[in-house]
Amino acid sequence: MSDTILPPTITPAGTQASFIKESPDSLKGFVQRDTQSPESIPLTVSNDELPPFVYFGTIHDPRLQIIHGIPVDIRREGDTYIASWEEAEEFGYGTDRFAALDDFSRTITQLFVTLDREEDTLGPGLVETLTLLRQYLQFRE
Amino acid sequence: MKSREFQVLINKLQLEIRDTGDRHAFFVHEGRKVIKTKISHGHCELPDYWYRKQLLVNERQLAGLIGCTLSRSDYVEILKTKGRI
Repeated sequence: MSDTILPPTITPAGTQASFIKESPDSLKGFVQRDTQSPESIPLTVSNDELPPFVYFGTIHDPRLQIIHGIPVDIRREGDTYIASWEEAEEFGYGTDRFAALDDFSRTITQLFVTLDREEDTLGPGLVETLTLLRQYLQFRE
Repeated sequence: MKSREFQVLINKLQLEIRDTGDRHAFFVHEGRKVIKTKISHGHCELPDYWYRKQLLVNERQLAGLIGCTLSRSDYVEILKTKGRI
């Protein structure tokens, strides 16, 4: 299996590219030019080459929007990937970094909605958490 | 931490979970939510460090909560010393 980076010229008019995730660390790419048969291109995703830190800005819930990118660390512990936000003491996890980030996104979304809805019943620690979340997230008007 | 160990924590600490789709369980004391912790979704080993951080316990205390040496009232005392209650 070889490491391959697709150059931008790979998708001229009439060319289609598609990808299949075979495992957490590998993708299989297919390129089809015009009416020719699809050509398989093996790809390797090296998590070592991906950044261990990102400013996270993707929330799936249409009710919410991110005001500032959330600082998220991503690391691997055994077979588990963990995406964490230290200041909020919150994390997501999964079998690869994308699953961990997706879990993180859903976790943060639900936490924000729940704490906002139940603000009157929160102890001081969770009030602080809600205050922090409001610096990064808000409800769309 | 294994999923079944997390289930022990839910039961012992009487963590509040409203819906099956919830991603958080809350420790409620005298009507106030004072601690949140993420619910296991079961297909990965749970990261101990983050559960200790969320529950405000050290390694020994977490082991005590999962085992038999610490009770819910002991946990309340831990949270009092941390200023969360």
